[in-house]
Amino acid sequence: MAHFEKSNGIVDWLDQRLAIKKFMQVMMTQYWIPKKINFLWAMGVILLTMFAILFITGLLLVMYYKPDVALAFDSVNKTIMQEVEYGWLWRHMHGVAASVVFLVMYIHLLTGIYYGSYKKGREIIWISGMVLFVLFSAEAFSGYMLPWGQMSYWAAMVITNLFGGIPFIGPELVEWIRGDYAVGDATLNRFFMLHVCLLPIVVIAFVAIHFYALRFPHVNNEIAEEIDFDLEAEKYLAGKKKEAKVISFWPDFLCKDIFYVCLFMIFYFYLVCFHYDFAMDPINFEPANALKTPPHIYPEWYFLWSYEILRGFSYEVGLACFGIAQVIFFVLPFLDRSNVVAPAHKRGAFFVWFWLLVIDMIVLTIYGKLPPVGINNTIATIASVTFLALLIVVLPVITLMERKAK
Amino acid sequence: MKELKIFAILVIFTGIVYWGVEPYAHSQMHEHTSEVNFDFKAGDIAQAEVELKKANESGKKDDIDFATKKLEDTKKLWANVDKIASLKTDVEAGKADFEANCASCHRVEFDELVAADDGISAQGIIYPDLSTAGAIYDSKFLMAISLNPALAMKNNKKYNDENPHPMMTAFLEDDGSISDENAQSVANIVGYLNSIGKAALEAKKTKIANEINASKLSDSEKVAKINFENKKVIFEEACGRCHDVKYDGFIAKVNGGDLKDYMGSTPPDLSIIIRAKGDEYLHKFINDTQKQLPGTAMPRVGLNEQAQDDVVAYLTSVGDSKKAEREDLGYKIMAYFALLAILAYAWKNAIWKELH
Repeated sequence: MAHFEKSNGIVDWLDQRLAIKKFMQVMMTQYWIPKKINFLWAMGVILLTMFAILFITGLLLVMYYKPDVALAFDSVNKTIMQEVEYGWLWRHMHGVAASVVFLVMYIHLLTGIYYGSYKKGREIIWISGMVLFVLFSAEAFSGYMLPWGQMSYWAAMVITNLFGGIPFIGPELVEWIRGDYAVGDATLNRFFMLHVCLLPIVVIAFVAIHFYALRFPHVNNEIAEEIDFDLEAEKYLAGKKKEAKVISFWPDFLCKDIFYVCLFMIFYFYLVCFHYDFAMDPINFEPANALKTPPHIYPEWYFLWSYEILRGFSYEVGLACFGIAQVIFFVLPFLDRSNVVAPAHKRGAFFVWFWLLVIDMIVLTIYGKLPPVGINNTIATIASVTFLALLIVVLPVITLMERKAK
Repeated sequence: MKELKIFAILVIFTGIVYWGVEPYAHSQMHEHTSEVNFDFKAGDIAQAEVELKKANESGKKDDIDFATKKLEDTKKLWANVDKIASLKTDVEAGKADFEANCASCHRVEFDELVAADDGISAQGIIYPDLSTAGAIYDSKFLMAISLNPALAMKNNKKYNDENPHPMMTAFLEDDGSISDENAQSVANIVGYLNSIGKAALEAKKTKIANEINASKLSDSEKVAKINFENKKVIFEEACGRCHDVKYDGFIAKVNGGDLKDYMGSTPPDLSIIIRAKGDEYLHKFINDTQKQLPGTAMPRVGLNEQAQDDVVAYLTSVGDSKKAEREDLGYKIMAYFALLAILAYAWKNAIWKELH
């Protein structure tokens, strides 16, 4: 057994057993972040804050929520919203955060693309981030079902139906997912389990992997400069903080991030208390009714772009393209054939490509909510083809040209 | 100030997405309908014209015929109403006319007219007691409903010559006009209902207030509860025969199954309808059901402006019961984070002084 000294206090006692000082160094005070970054790099910490809010408010909601088709709607809209002290607050915080977290995630993701943070050495950060995006999507969808409102029910019908398009096993797969021939109590119960148990565990695991993956290639910076982190850290530790190109995660980086988080929270609580309905579809305040189809069925705003790709083509083709759209961003580091790591405005054609992608995704999002009639269908097809072409064809071509020009 | 530039770009793009998926999408998905109009004559004629225009666009002969007839009938009905409204009323005669024409089905408990026979209820549907009718319904609507209930309540698609409305009246001549004698009679009946409506409503409200005042609540709670119950009374009178408000422990007076047979669908529970439909939609819908939701089984009930406001206020206080708490807390939380942001900024500056 190792040798233990008599400790001179609680910190020392813990340090001898858990090496907390070393741990704090590795995780916080000597975890080096480039100095040259802007507020877009705060999105990671904002996301973490949002996730913490979702987790905690989720626990409070689970205390009163009942996963039963006969009770779910009222347990949310009456018990939690009206009877439990501040239940409305937890519910709105949870519902609004679930939506806002996607806004921040999209900003985080597009920041990564703009500054080339997915490239050369940072592929695992990117891929683990994309896994998180998919996990959050599953988490959002399974949570959306739980209040058992009209849109919950019909969204579940439509989304589970999608699996029916998979060749050979489709119909059986749909039944297996639903646990019944139609969406019902069994479906609600398993989605409840996914939402409150399995998916959060996997999300937490991937958040850890995402952070861990940052330790080796380090965080990218505003000018995509390659930094010798050991050298710069030495300068910092020697007291030449102004000269060093790095700062410590705590307190240097976080003090700034906490400021941004506070600003963000003002916006967030404005939504929670005054404009919660931006994130909650009014149709979901009608109880699920299997006999009455809502006039328009559409997903939450953050899924509209991929929903529109699904609708942009005939059923089978649409389904295939939808599948591709879900995974295409995973392979972004490999579709980009250039070895230049630089912000988009220093990369000519890539800069144009980036903004085309953003605009195309916004067009897909807006048209994804509109009824699929007339001109809307044409726009859906054009925007969907453009999306796939931009990623599968245009990106490799322009980045190959970029590499040759070098 | 590059950060501000980036932030501006972020706000603009987020704003475009928001505009697209909220106001713009809703404007595309929901047909625009005209504003609430308590001049029922003008509102009904305008709406009948809209329906005729739509029928003409559809080109379906049945629809065009139906809409053309509806516009004619509507004009005729409201012309008759104008004639009735111009007459002087005699309340005493009105009570006698009421007993002769209405009292076999309708009660006026406030005035001890309780001869109506429950056995003649249509398909399990009880006829409303009309004690408070004069206070909560529009007078001209009451005249219109006495002449042509199906058209006044806008369920004329369902009730016609082959399938007459359960409320049968015989004030109109075969050509749709009204004799001077009958016009006077309707004027008197409505005059009678108006004469007792307010008093009947006040009597109900006073009874409730007395009960609340005798309870152990604090004074401010009493005021709030009386205010709430005063609005609930209107809801009960106007909507409470068909609609439940489960979250307020309120159950409709008529059995849901009977209603389904009678109306064609079960009237929805209205506990959180304010969240599902919103203030503006509810006002428009109550004012003219067919305008907002063509083909709905719900009749237009003809509430006057004050009663409609009270109904929506009641639904809001049940469906969004924490609104005041939410907004009050909202300012406090935002102020808290604003203060925290200032402190965080000062802390950041202190730390970054060494770094820059």
